[in-house]
Amino acid sequence: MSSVMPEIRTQLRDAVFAAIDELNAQRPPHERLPKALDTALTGEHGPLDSLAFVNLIVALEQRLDAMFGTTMSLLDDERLDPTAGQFRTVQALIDYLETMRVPHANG
Amino acid sequence: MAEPTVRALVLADFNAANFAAHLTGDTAEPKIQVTVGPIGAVGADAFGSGEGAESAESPERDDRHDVAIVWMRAQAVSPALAALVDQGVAVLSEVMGDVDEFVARIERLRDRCSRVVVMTWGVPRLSAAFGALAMKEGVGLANVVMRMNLRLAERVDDLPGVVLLDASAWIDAEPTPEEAKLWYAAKIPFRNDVFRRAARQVKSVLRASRGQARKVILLDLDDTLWGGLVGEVGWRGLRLGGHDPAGEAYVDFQRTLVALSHRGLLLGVVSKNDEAVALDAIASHPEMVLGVPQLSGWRINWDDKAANIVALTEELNVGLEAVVFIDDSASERARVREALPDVFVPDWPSSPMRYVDALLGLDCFDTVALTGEDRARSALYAAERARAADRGIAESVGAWLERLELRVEVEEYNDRNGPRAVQLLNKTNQMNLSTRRLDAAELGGWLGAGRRKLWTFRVRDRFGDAGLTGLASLEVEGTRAVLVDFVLSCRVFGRKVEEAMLHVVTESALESGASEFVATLMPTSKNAPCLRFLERSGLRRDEDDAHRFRFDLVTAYPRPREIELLREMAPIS
Repeated sequence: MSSVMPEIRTQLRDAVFAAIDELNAQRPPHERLPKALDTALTGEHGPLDSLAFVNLIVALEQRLDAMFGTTMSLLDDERLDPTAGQFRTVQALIDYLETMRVPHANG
Repeated sequence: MAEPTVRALVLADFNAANFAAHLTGDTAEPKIQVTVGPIGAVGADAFGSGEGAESAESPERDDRHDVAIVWMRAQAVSPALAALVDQGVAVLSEVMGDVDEFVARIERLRDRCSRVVVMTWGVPRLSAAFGALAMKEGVGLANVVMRMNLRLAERVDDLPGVVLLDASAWIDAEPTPEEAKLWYAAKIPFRNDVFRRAARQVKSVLRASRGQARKVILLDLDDTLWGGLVGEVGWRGLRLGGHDPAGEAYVDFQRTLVALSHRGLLLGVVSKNDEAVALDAIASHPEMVLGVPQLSGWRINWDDKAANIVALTEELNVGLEAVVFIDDSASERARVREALPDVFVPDWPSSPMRYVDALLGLDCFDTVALTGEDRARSALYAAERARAADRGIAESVGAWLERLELRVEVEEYNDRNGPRAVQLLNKTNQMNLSTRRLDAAELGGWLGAGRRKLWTFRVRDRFGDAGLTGLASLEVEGTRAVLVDFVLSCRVFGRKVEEAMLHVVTESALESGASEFVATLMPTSKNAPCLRFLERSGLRRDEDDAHRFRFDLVTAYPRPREIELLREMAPIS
């Protein structure tokens, strides 16, 4: 684990929170997602339907593209399954992004 | 008081869930409750097959929706356009035929749901494949779509109740408006920023159709209309025009303001300066675009700006809720916001090079119809200043009215005066008996049922034409004539035009066989001037209803001798 990893985790968290902001702009106040690591996203009792999930992931890809300058293709993965563990919470999503070897400014 | 929620039916050929979410989620008034119709359905089929649905050609109105919002993409409307993509050739007459068919469906939709908002067509992304041929006649996709838009604009121009919005204003504002992944994954063609802008303009149009758009822009001078303090540097030292980026930006800002004034917005100045110095700068600086003739009024002194705004709006006879105040000074903005919460005081950029963007982004000046009165409004206020000066030298009000040489032209409601009459009905608050708000289709429907008639009143005097400034409508039930609308612009209050209008409607009531004339005021927070007029009009007040007034139709209400009446009327049948 390099010394830049905590910085990347912070950037990934910021990207996810920014995507949540964009998603929340379309949702009534009582359905808005809290920007917290333990916020549930999908799964049996998750708050996101399939359309909201697509909106979140597309917004997230746009943020990651802008942040790292390299296209991140989450939605293109044939195995993309909204109910899978990596999308259940904000924390799980950040962990998943980290495993995708997100490129970063420091190389 | 909060506005009632608008019930909107959204019809699109794509997944409109994101657009619907922005319409619902936008916090500006009015609140919108959205139903998304079947994908691709426009016309009577848009109302679905559920409970309450009518047959496809049923003319019956749909009471479940206040407005239909139609956003179809060009290729979904025109099979002939699709042939251009698939086969490389478009038969233009067939494409135009498809547009005409689309308009016919819009018209049927309008018959069901009295107000329809239609978006123009953006040029499909595929146009890039046409390269240098994109604009070639009969071959280029961009060329054909632009022609479709022009045809659409021509066809809906005279359709009451239909508003065409230029979607390119939102699509072109985004560097990458289309998001391929949203399209392939969810059949959503645009990014959310496009839908956000679209939702804001739809709301602006809905406010405008109910007469809630802002009508007046009051402006600071120093570092707002020009750069620098005129009191210190003199007009020759101001940054305005010339080979100076900021100077050019101030000129463009003024030019944009003047363009808005041609749509009927009033412009005024509220500035802390010496009046003579400031007016000399306005008149003398060769780069000023905004001159005294474009200004409806000003308060240039060292007094509190909030107090000056109140005084100026009283002079202009407009409410504070109609005013936008623009000032580069954050402290002045904060002061006005605190003192006058009804006045809209937008945040303002520090760089003059952002002023035009800030002004055009305000979304509060929309108008759904442009009348002659709108175009000439600044001139009307200039005439009013001359009139007020003349009143100052007249020996009495009566003598002044005689000198005005007032002439009132009365016309029945028709296609020519209809747009202005509807605008007046929806904008006027103070001299308004019932304050009912109807669009053209609703008003036409009301007039078509029963023994009803509506007249318009155009007022002129020796200083100029005040335009179509009054309307009145009457409903005759047996021997009783009921005054339903009685509306007069505050610009012509107090010149006995009110009395002339009563004369006209009572005379018509007499001719239709009525023996009693009744006017019932529906009180609002703003129409006390109408009540005060009725109280001093000579009409008899009901003992059991302080807002109802009666007149026995033995003769018509007396015509004011100072007014010449020109009439074109038929009895109520």
